[in-house]
Amino acid sequence: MRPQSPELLLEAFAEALQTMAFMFPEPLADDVPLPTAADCLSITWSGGGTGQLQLATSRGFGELLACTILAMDPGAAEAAQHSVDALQELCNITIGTLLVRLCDSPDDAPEMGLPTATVLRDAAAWQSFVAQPHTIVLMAEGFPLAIRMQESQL
Amino acid sequence: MGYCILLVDDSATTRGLIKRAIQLAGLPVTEFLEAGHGKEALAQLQTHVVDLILTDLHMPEMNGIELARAVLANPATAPITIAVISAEPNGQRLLELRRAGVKGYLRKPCTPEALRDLVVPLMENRHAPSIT
Repeated sequence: MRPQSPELLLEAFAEALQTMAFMFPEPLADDVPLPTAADCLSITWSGGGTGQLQLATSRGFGELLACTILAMDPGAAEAAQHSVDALQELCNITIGTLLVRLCDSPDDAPEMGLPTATVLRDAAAWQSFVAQPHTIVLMAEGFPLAIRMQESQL
Repeated sequence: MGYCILLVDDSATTRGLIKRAIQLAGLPVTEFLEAGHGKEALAQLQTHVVDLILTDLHMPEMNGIELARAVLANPATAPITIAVISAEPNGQRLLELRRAGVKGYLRKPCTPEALRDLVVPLMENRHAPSIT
């Protein structure tokens, strides 16, 4: 398996986001308010190495993503209950897309785990998340997003 | 005549996305059933007549491969067409699915057009033998 790069991660994430919801990640603008609380999604993979993809974003982005995918009006009452689920699926599709690109042969692709969700409870937790190495911070539809992939060889 | 499609995915959002894409494609579906994993899907099959199962692979409780094997091993459900919609990157596992009798595969992320192109031929050739 080839070593992952920020460019490949961004490509995979952009493809997932565009195909799922016709949204486009872009560089974080200075005036975007950072979340005071955020959802953090993680998904692991193993085989030929192990690794983890993590995505953090504000709850508002998850709700917008769910509304877009399910053709609900923005702010629909059901959006909140689909928010984390939509973000987990975004992680799932991003890692699947990325692993295909990282493997020399499809037969070498590792086993993906199931996505899990935690909460970054305040602005300090968000700042701590984005300060970790290999974290890419960007935005989509005016919401901040942070994504990173950490891997280790077996 | 309309079809009954069973959508199996642990993501309710994805089930909604697939359902909407099939509805937009204008396919003659009379009923959509949903299940969050393989065990729920098998329970649905005990009380409903299903024409097509569209299943994810990575799910809690019972994954898509286990579900496909259980469905195809049961004479009562073996005629049901099964297709997989998953982010699965491993080619060997996909080959394993084909050999087990799964008739179609679509990698996520997928467009509504790709979904339509998967489902229409499967429904038109429902009783064709599986590719091995």
